[in-house]
Amino acid sequence: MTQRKISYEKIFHAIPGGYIVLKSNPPVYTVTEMTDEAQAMIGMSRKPLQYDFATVFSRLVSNEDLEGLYIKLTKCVSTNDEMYPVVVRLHDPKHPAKNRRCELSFHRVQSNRAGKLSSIIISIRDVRDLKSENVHLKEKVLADARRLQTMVGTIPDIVWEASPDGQIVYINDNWYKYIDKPPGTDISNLWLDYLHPDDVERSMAVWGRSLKTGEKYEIEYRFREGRTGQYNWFISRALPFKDEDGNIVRWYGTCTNIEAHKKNAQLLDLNKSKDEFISIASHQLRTPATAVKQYLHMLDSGMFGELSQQQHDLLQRGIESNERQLRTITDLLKVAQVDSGEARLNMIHVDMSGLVHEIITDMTEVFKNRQQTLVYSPFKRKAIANVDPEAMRMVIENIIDNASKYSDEDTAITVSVKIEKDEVCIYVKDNGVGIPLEKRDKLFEKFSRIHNSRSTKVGGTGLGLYWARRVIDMHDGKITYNENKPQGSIFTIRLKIVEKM
Amino acid sequence: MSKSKPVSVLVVEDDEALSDAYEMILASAGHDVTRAFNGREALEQTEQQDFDIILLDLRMPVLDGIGFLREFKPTEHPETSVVVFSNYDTHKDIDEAYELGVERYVLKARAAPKDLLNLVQGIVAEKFSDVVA
Repeated sequence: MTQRKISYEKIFHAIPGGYIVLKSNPPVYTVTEMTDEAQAMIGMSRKPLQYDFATVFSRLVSNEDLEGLYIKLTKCVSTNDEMYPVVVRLHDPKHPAKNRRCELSFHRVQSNRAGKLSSIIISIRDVRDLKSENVHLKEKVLADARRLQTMVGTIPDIVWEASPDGQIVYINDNWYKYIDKPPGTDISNLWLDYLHPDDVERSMAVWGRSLKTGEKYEIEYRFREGRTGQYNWFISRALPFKDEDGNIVRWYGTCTNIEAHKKNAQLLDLNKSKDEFISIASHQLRTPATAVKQYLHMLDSGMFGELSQQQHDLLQRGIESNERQLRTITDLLKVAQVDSGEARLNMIHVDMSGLVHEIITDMTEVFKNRQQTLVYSPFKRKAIANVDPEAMRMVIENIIDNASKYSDEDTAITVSVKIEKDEVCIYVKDNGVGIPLEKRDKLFEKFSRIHNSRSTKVGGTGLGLYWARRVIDMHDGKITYNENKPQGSIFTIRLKIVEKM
Repeated sequence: MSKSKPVSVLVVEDDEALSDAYEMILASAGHDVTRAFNGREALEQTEQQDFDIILLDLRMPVLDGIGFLREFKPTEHPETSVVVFSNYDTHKDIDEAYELGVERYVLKARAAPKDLLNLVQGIVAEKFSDVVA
């Protein structure tokens, strides 16, 4: 029996935490047991026990607190009510100047079923650590909340929160900005007022289904903008937030303005139909223009009788116009091909200096007819690039022909080939009309037309340079414009060299 | 252009104005011209007569040029030269036309009457030299 008692005591002493057992014999309360931790806290040895409660605590707390503790103790003895812990400042027995905040709670121990009180257990807990931990946690939560709030504030989307029954309980300021109302204006069903009438039924059905099934909510609909009264397309998405048991506690959602995206898609469609229109129209125009060509030439060749000089001259005017018309149609069709991705290149290794030399040789007549000087000295090395020779020839011819067309008689056009690092560069310089500064950035775009002294006469389509750029792009090359001083243009085509020789 | 041996030409072209023009041009050089306005009509003509040259448009109603080539099979008619005389077709069509055995592809918008006659003369000259060899 004694042995068992001893082992109980040992176990009791070892219990983690500060516990003191008082024998209740009012007004005397005698300490009968305390755990090792309690002993350390109050700085008293366990032996000899039988200290009086007052003896123990008068050393540790202020008189005021001692009073409070007595009241608690008396209450604990006299009533059966739930006891709330009391927090007191406990002197550190080793450093009397230091205080520790401790929480003391009083528990009744009854000896029999009748409820006779036999002992009181006081538990002492140092709350200093607990408090600092709490403060830390609180700060962390606040910081998280602030961070979230900032994030929700920064994103351009409308962010909202809804209860499981679908009522909006929170919506960020972006919504109020959009509807042009002060933040916090009633939110319960306000959003319905801003929904496009044609979208209401569909939205309610989809939202209702999500609320019922807990499936992801996603829908596109239109909201009226408060300031302009204009409807814009939004994509709205929401996911349910579930508790541990899988019940939906909240819905979190966003609404993203996709009006620009929608417009863009429409524009792309429009652009595509425009390209298709150009393609179809050009095909339709080409056949009759080709027929006109045949008849004009038949007349002109004298097949049906000799022509007077005037008749011949008039026919020549017709033939020239017809040729220009056919050229325009061809340009349109070429562009339609590169735009639709139908254009295909047959890439082979081509010596670019050789190709330029061939082109120049073929074009000598052109310069002679226009009484212009061609300055060209053949490049003596080979510069092999991977190109479609037909397409590349057309591009280079086009650039050189432009240089000639937009230059006066008795001026010089300079063509040169150079190797710069790993690129072969073809320079085409003229002293012609040049490109005004404000037109340069749009020079290689579709239908870019520049009005100058030559453009009406030349009758360009605004497609040649666009097509050239697209073809050079397809070769992973570059075509650029620089002004020639004191006047004129320099066009440069750069292509990656595969091999130098 | 010299007027050499007249040849038989089948013009397959759906545009009447163009077809008329080609007929006049070729007839002016003394060639024997037969006309068809789509691939189906062209097939019917080839069943009745062997032509020296077929000028073939690709885009046509009823049966297009490619459809005609698939049924006519130029490789089985070495006596006939098939020339595609067409306007801006897709690469796919051009490739297919060559694979099906056409000899030349001419952009008709580029060809003036004298080019057409030169083309015919050129083919005739080749055929003639073949015979000599």
